[in-house]
Parts: sequence; structure tokens; C-alpha cells
Amino acid sequence: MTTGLAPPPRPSYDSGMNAQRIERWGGAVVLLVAVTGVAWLLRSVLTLSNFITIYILVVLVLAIRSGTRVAVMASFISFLCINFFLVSPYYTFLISDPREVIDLVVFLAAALLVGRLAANARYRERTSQQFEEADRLKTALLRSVSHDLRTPITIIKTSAANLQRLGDGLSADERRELSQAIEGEADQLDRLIGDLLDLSRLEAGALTLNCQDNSLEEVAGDVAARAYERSKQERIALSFADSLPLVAFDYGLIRQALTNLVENALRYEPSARKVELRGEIAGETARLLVINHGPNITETERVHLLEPFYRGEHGHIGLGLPIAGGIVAAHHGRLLVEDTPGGGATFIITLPMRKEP
Amino acid sequence: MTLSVLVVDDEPQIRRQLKIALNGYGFEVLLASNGTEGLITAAQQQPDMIILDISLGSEPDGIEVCRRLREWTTTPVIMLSIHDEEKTKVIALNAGADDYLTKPFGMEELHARIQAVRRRIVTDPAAHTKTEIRVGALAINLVTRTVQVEGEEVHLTPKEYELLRLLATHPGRVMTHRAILNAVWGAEYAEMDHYVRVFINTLRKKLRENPARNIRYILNEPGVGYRFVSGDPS
Repeated sequence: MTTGLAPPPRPSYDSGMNAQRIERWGGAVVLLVAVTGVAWLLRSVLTLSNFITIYILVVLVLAIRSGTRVAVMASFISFLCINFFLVSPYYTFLISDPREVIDLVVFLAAALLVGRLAANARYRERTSQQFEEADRLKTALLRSVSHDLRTPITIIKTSAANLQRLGDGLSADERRELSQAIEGEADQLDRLIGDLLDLSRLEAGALTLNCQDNSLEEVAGDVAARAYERSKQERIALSFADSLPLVAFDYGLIRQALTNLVENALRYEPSARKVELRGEIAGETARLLVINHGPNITETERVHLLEPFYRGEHGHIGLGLPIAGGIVAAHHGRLLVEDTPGGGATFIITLPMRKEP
Repeated sequence: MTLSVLVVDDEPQIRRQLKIALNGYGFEVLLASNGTEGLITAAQQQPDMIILDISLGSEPDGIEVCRRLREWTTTPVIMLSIHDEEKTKVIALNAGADDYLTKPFGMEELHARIQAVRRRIVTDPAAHTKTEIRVGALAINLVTRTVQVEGEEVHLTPKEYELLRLLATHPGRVMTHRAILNAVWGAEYAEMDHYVRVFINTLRKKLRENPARNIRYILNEPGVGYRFVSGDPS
């Protein structure tokens, strides 16, 4: 099972955008043709005012569904359709009754106005939903941040105070322990602040990518070596084909995204096994796989994984995954999560290959 | 001989902590709180090494101080920066800095960098003749131009050997992509960064690096270049 985990804050301009546009405009044309067909069959029974009412309704529906531009187009097409098919003399743009000219011009003006108003209402409703969503997220974020920031500060303060007050009375070991706590918690604080800054830069879209042709194997090796350095244990297996081409990405940022995924995977990896790092090229996409053999990810976790400070069934996830997701999205790639065959979670970074000129 | 180190930083607390730590390592420490004072102290006291903050909060800033120092001295300069920004690092190196450290850093890390820079002055490849470089399982014989890993000879193409020689003769030192291209391929290849990456990749395989156990000889400095390990890789 595959779930897309592209984070929501910014719209992504990929091929899905085009498909959506075709659907919008195509839907409008189909609706107009259908309505005109039915109206044409009933043209001897109904009057001009009936047609005008029906077409106003059509424009209104299209404005709400597809926005201003489609509504404007629909207004003009409706105007022409009524004129050509439904007003005598038929199949010309001539109009025999001058009063019908007034009706039609008023119809056009009304349709344009209605379309506009409806599209505005639709836009406002959408943005207010987005604002509410962002607001909710921000509140949750602030609450967790203040907790995660205050804990290290508290430890630093109490350790320093103890050193000051009890200094000489403490044994050398105790003094060392206290000062180590201060240093360790300061590192923790530094990491957290760095993560927060990254996340806010990612969400503001203010991150500038320094994309160069880089080697997937190099960045994976870098991450694996740092993991070994931290734990002094060989917990990662690398598998990269010899002939992988270079891929354009920001080395520092992708290294960070991969580090976050690997740290997360290591946390749940059974001690008898290794997290596997694999690179592959599939068509026009480069894929970096982080394969874990621990517990499966539940549906709920899958949905919330990229939310900052989400605390899942397996404990605190924090900012690592949202940052990884944001970095990958900034590269126009995707962060996917799949079940590892036999159990575990496989995170996949996909990056678009630069097309040959 | 006691090594004298000049610290130029506008933060009094950082100056104080650095002084305590560096004294603890047995260095003599000189302090300056801004660029102008730093330049004057460097000229009058002739320190053996300068630790220079990039953002000094006043003119001239750290980069400018480094440029001016380089007009008359080759004293090693280690820059301190709070920006983990690749561009700042490249600018600092281009301005003549020998190395950089990103704040916050551990004192042991600073000490290691000072020692690495110091070793480089003592074992400057231009000034000293060294015929063999040994790091871990890797042995490079500069006279016969042969490379061995775990006692077995490794065949390298001339370009691969040149690249390895360049990096290995500057252990612990950041070599920018541009500097590598200039030295190995020539100035007309200055923009061909991907050449370096492809060759480094092949080189790593031939040297039997094993990142999963952190057996590495060539380290990546993201967006800046590469650094050959300075000690024995663990």
C-alpha cells in the first residue's frame, strides 16, 4: 500500500494541475452542450425567459464549481447559444424582436455578475478553511514547542544552580555529571531550534535550494557514516548499483531529510537486523529507500506522520518527518511510506530527474 | 613553544569562554572585541593563529578583516559563524580563511581544528618532502605514484590519482570544488562540479570505503567541497 505524504502548506505545480484544468473547462463545455441540446428540443414549448433562467442557473453552478474564468466563458457561450439556437430566426445571430435583444443583453450582464459573485464566495470559503487549518496546527505546535523547549532549559538551570550553590561540596564525578547535563541539554536545545527554523523556512517557502548534480550513494554513505559515528554500531546496510547517474538536489538538505528518516527508522529497527538504504532510478524518478523491519505503521499514524510534534502509538516523532517531507516537497519530489514486505515501514524519497536538454 | 592564539569576537561571554578553554589547552590567548582592534593586535603581537568571528556586529566584519589580514600575513585563520550557510563558508574560504566552525561548537572540536591547521603549517607539502601518506588501511606512495589498500595495490587512472594526491596532501583541509577542478582538470573546467563527484565516487569504491562502518578517507562538505580525513579513521 502506498500513501502520498506531500505536505499540504503550498500548492504543488505538477501534472495533476493540468489534468484538473482540463476537467474544469471540459466539464463546463459538456454541461453547456447538454443544456443547449435539451433546450433546443423544447424550444417550441418554452419561452425566452425560461431559457434565461435555466442558463443563469448553469452559470451559477459553474462559478461555484470552477471559478471566475470558467463562469465568464460560460456567460458568453450561453449568450451565443441562446441567440443562435433558441431565438427566432434560428441558426443566425439575428434577432427579430427588439425586446428580446434587451433580454439577452441583460442576461449577459446578469450572468457575468452572478458568476463573479459566486466565484468570490467560493474563494472566500476555501481560504477561511485553510486559515482555520493553519491556526489549529499552529496552536498545537506552540503547545508542544513550549514543552520541548522548556524541558532542556529547566535541566540547564537546575544543573547550573546546583553547581553554583553546592559546587565545592560535590564530588568530582557529580560535578562532571552536572556539567555534562548542561552541555547535552544545550545541544538538544540547539537541534530543536535549528529544526524549528528549518520548518518555518520550509513552510514560508523561503528556502533557497542549492541544487547541483549529486550522487545518491554519496549522500547515503555520509548519513550511514554519521549514524555509525554516533552509535559505534553497524546498523545500516547500503545497496547502490555501480552505474547510478547523478541527480540534481541540494546535498545538505537531502542529507538532513535522509538523516531524519534514518534516525526514525533506527529507533524501531530490531537489534538483530539492519536498516537498509537503497537507491534506484525508475524512469524519470530517482528513489531513495529507507527500509525498516520493525512494527508496521498504523493507518492513523500514516495520516499524521508529517504533522509537527505528532505523538504516535510508538512514542514521540517530533519534527524530523515533517522537515523531511518539506525538504522533499521543495525539490518537487514526494515522500512516500509503504509497508516493508514481512513487516516494518519503508520511507521513499522520490526526486525528479533533470530532463536532458 | 607556546602557541599564541588571537580571538576576535564581539560577544564578551564567548571571548571569556574561549580564553578559559584555550588557556586550558596550554595556548597563550590574545583578545579583541572588534575588527579594527583585531587587525591592530594581529600586527603588533604577531599571533600564531587567529580565531575570527564572521559577524562582528560592526565594520569591518569578519570576512573583511580576513581579506585585510591576507594582504600582509599568512597566519592561519579559523572563522566562526552562526550561519550554517554554505555560501558564507565559501566566501570565508575565498577570503583566505583556512577553516571554519559553525556556532555552537564544542571546545574539543575547536581544539581538533586548531591542531589540524597547526599540523598543516608544520607539514606544508610545499615546504617539506613527504614520500608516503598512510591513513588507516590506505597507503599512497608519492614517489612511485602507487596506492595500496590493505596491502593490495589499487589501480587508479592518472586523473583519479591526481585527485587523490591533491586531497591527501592537504589532510583535514577543505578543498573547494573550484580549487579541485583548477588543480586537477585546469581552469577551463571551473564550472564542471559534476566531474569531481563522478571521480570521487569511483575513487571511493576503489579505496574500499565502507560508510556503514565509517571507514572513509574523503569527507563531503556540502555545497563547499571535500576534506581528506586528517587522522586515522575509526
